[in-house]
Amino acid sequence: MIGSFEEALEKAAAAGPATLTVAPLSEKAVRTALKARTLGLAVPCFIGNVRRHERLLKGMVSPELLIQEEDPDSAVRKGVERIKAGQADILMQGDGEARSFIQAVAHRDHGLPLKGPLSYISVYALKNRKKLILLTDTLIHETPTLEDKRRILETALAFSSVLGIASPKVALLAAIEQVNPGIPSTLDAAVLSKMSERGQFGDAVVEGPLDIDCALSERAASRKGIRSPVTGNVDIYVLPDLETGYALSELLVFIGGMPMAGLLLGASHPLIPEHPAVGEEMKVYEIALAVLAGMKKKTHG
Amino acid sequence: MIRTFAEVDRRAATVGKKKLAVLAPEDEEFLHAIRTGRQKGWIEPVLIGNRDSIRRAADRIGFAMDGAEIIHKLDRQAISDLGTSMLFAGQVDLISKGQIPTAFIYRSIIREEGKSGTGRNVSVISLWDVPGLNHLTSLTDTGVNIRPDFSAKVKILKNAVFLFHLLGYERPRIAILSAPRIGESLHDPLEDYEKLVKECRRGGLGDCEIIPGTRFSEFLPDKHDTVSRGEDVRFENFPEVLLVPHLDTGNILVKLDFFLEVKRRSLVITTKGPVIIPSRSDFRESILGELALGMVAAENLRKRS
Repeated sequence: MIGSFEEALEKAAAAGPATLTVAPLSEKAVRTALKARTLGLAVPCFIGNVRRHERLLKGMVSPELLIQEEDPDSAVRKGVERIKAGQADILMQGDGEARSFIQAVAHRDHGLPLKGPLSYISVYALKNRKKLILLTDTLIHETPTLEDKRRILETALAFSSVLGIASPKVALLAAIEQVNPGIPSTLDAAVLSKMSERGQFGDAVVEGPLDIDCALSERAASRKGIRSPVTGNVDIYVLPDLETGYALSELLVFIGGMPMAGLLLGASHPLIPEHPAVGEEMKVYEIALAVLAGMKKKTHG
Repeated sequence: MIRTFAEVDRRAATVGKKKLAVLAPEDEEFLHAIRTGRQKGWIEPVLIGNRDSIRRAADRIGFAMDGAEIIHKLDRQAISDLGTSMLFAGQVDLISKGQIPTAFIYRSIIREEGKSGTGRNVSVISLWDVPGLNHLTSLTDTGVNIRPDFSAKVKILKNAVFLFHLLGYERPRIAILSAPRIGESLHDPLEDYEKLVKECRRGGLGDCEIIPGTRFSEFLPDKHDTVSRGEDVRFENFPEVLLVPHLDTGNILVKLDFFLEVKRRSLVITTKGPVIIPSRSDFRESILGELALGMVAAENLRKRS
């Protein structure tokens, strides 16, 4: 099981380099992609205002991997085309807002084929234990339906398996731990946890609704009468909606001091949008996680 | 200005004994906290609820309760109404929830505020003591309003500003939290933010300030790089009040004290005094901490009026 970002990087590097396309460019993304190349993670191709980043790129990358395209939307579109043509495994956004990048990759006509709804997974390393935790969806779905949540959960479970997490423990978070017909998030959680009981999510242990104190603390859970292998040992947190997911993902970074890496999954290939809570040091780990996510795709078609 | 919970506790020890009505204290953890509060000379409790259940719980922890006033009542709403009316009549300084659902207490408070014509609603303010931050911060509403609209948000903020004034913050800073939208959205995430900024400028929230931005990454710019280098964040201009968009968010964010190095104390503030509402998963230390916070707020409210 991969328990840290460093381990993810080692494993991804050992798997051999993936092809990475960066579009459009930012200094941070260019530096990160070059670093990924040095580490043996990826062979990068750059689409965007290549001239502006000449200082970093000069002599580092062969000319056919440098594509001048000043319009950011066209740059993303060209990146998508490279993936569709089988010339790239991973697409990473450099410059711009996540919104425009995600809209371009999900575009009905020019975008990537989707396996299901896109969802964003925020990954953190616990400070006191060797363990990665996943939070999803933290960026895309404003108010996911039960069906959306099922697909989001399946995407996260597939990703957890590339991290080597055996029988992943999933907390379906809600405001309260009791099923309350007035609070839809508790109903969705109850249904998903029932589906899990019936083996519909393989060997994953899916528990919900759980309020976050029960998810985080076995002691708090047992005081509320909940006994489950999930409490106090969660691998995947499924969030009830965007407001909660986004705020929680940022709060762990800014108040919790826990660096975050994130991936956009659900399309044919792993994607790395630019996220304002992801620092430069973490970008290379995002590439490593994307390499691992892509490997899964190769082995399981 | 009170900057830490340690300071709250120091103040609590100096404000003199406070009269506390406890609604249905039929739980051991809760009675432990009451006993300690009494031993410290902080409180004079009035216990309202089922006399037998209270005594049984007290026996289980070996708490003699000598001399503590018990008012025997069985009906949950009647227990809550009595305690709340005592607070509004000035007969007690603060009240605390025991084993009674909060909905009863909120109903009692709304009735009393209604009778007093204050126009206030009920909301929960959860204070956080965050290492590295040189003042308290808070999340609100973390307990009552499921999907507050603009006018409910105004009332929620008024309560939070009122509490921070009581804690000595002259002009608390407020952040209106809202996530960015990637796809088509039913809501404009900035709509309430913009209206609240206007309301704040008109003075409709009390003396306070709404800071620009609706996400941590906006009001702590560049700090993501600091964190990803493994360095400690230096907070500058961090808000005292974080208004969460709805209750799910509030409930989930606020309990991160189970996970992060932050400490939490929650409170309802009415125009006539604080109401402590320990959660069913709280332990005696945290109940005692909330009691201290309530005592300090009660004392500062008393001095004002």
